[in-house]
Amino acid sequence: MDISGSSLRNSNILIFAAIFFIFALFPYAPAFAAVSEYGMKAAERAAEEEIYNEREWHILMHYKKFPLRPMESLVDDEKFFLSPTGKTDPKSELDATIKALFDPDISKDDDNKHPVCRYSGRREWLIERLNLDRSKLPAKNCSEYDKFLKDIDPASVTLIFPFMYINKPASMFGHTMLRINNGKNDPLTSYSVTFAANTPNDINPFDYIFKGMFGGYYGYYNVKKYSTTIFEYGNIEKRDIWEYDLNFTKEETVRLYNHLWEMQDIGSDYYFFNENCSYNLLLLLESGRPQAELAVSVIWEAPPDTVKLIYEKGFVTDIKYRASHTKILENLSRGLSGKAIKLAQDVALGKRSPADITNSEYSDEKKVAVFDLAIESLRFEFLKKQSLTEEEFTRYKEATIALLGERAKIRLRSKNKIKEPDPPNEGHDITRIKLGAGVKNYKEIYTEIGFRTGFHGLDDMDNGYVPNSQLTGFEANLRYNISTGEVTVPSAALISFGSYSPISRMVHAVSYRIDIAGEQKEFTGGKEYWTPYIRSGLGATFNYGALYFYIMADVDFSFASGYSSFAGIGLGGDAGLSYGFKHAKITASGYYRNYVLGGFGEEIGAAGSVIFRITRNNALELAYSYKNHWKIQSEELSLNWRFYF
Amino acid sequence: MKKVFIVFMLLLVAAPASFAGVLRNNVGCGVGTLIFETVGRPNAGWILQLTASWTNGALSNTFSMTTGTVNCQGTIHDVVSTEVYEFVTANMDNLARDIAMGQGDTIDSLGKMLAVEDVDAFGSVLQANFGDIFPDADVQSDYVANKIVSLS
Repeated sequence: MDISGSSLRNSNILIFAAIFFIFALFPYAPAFAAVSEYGMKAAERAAEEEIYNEREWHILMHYKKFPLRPMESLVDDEKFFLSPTGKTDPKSELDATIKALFDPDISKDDDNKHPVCRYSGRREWLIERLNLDRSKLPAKNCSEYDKFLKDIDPASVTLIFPFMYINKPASMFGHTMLRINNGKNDPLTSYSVTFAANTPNDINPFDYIFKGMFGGYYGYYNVKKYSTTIFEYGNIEKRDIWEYDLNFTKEETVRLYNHLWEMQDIGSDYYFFNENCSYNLLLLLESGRPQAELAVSVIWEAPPDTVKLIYEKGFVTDIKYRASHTKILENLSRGLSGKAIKLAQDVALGKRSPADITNSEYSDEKKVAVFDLAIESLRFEFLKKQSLTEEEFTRYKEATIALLGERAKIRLRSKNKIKEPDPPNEGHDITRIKLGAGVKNYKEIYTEIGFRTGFHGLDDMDNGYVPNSQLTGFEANLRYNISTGEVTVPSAALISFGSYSPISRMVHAVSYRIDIAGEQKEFTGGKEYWTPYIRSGLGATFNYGALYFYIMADVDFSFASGYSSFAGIGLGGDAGLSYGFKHAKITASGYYRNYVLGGFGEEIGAAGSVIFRITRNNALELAYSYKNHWKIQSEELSLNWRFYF
Repeated sequence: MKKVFIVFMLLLVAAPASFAGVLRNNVGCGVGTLIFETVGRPNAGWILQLTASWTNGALSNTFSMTTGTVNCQGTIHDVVSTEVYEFVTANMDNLARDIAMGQGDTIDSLGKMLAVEDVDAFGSVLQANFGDIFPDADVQSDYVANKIVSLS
């Protein structure tokens, strides 16, 4: 899978072999010459007690045992290991670690690089586990470690989940971070930790996708101020941020910090599906709370699952919501007349002056709302630009200060309370199994089984998701027709994604959809053919409360090789609506396409469904569909049970 | 997964590595600096834009301890701690907005740093003095920090 990495590994093997050779010649190599007697004894005791088999050690070294593979560390950076065989040998790595900790001669010129300063997580665990005398460690001045510890001031942990970006269904996969809350418990001055792939400057998109998925890049833990993170996700990406406060004690948080510190500049191969941002955060959480088994996934670790896992483990004490810039704008515009919104927008665009709000006939409360909308709109105008010139920058600064100064004259404090949506942990899991039975044309009875991987579709309950967002991977349905004894695949899809973001007075977003799928279609003459298609649509979505309505024009390329040697090109579109309750959802849709090429003719259809949410991961669907494909009519009525895991 | 990564990545791809630093010197440490640095970027190709939303990457493999005041030529009074100065520098835009509105996250944070007892009242005081704290569009973070501390 990993082409670029293999040559690297070959050279590693050569280096390892050379080191082995040297060690074989000098059993007590000069490297450990200065290890104190106390240190040698500690190493002996550790070996006797076999503490290299203990979970804490495996967590700190990221040792994992996957089925059919020997235990090895997920860390791929050589400098992380003190023993040349450390990646695969917990015992030799433990021995080397203890000896290095008690060897005052290592990196004599730079205390900060000495294992005592560098490997804080291992150091602390060994001191505790072997009941070591801290004063026997070489005296080193760990100034960098101390400064960072003081800056971060670890007191508690919050799991950060930037929610999906409404216009980009692909972002549904999500991202997770940690925030290490400082002693003041102040979010903005606390630091966030993320695990991200380190990509080179000269980047080829296809290379990037391939390597990002299959381990061509090193991933590192990154630490930065949480205020920067909010700016990046909330303002630039326009994603809501969910914050899950965890019940980590100060002791656990410091332990986590100690491990984070020793992971600085240490790379591990980044795999998009498994050894990704979420998985590595779970490893970090385990370092703080070793008794918790969190990083257990083998195939994939999807960030929304991570959030649910942490919630179900009972770690969460509080859930906080931080609205994106777009949400703030929508919220501020609520309750304002079209005229008031226009005034705010004109002021934001510089067409009218801030004093025009002061001099308007609105009450002070209304003026505050108009001002606040103008302030956020002004910023939004600049954030959405692709680049800024010096002149625009000057205009932004001047307009902002003028507007804020005028706003501050009304001595009222703003009230920007936003109604929180359901938190993501209330959403269904991402893999779906469907079991159902139905009747076709009121005479043929069939049963059906369906399977779908990640994440969410239009026909799923929207709790914990952005309503009407759609991103699904592989999906297949298998039908057994009891009346005729036939087994068919009525529909299957490779990928479907759609963005139905409502048009509002503040945001004018386009809705779009792409499906790469196939279905069993009846053609003139009564024959059914498996018909793959690629369909893409463009349209608009409108939203009134819990009601969503969309209309879309689409182009469809169908390949029915059995029926016609040509691909059919269909032009048409569809429209649909959905209404969501807390425990149910109603959907209805209709479509029309005319196959202008390929000679298939016209197709028209309608469908409706009612979905009941039984539990988070169980739902019942009652569905009806009518099809008139190329003059052959059919009707289906079915009852389906869906289970998510 | 992380569109922001593209922002930084493209800064390096399409512009000299010193781009961000040069920019900072031009725009100082005032209102709009952060937005200018982030928005002032070349446009991304569509494939990268598409994939950036579901892949995850970053340029820096170190721990970002840069405080943001490195390029500011500010002077702060003895009573203004470095912490307050760094915070104001890193949050100039939000702070200006929150002070104009008399409330918000940045005021809460400052209240904790300055051990203010009544954060609501502190917000109102700052609001009433907006013109003093932000006298013009080119005001720098050291001036703002000094003023805020004198009002706390």
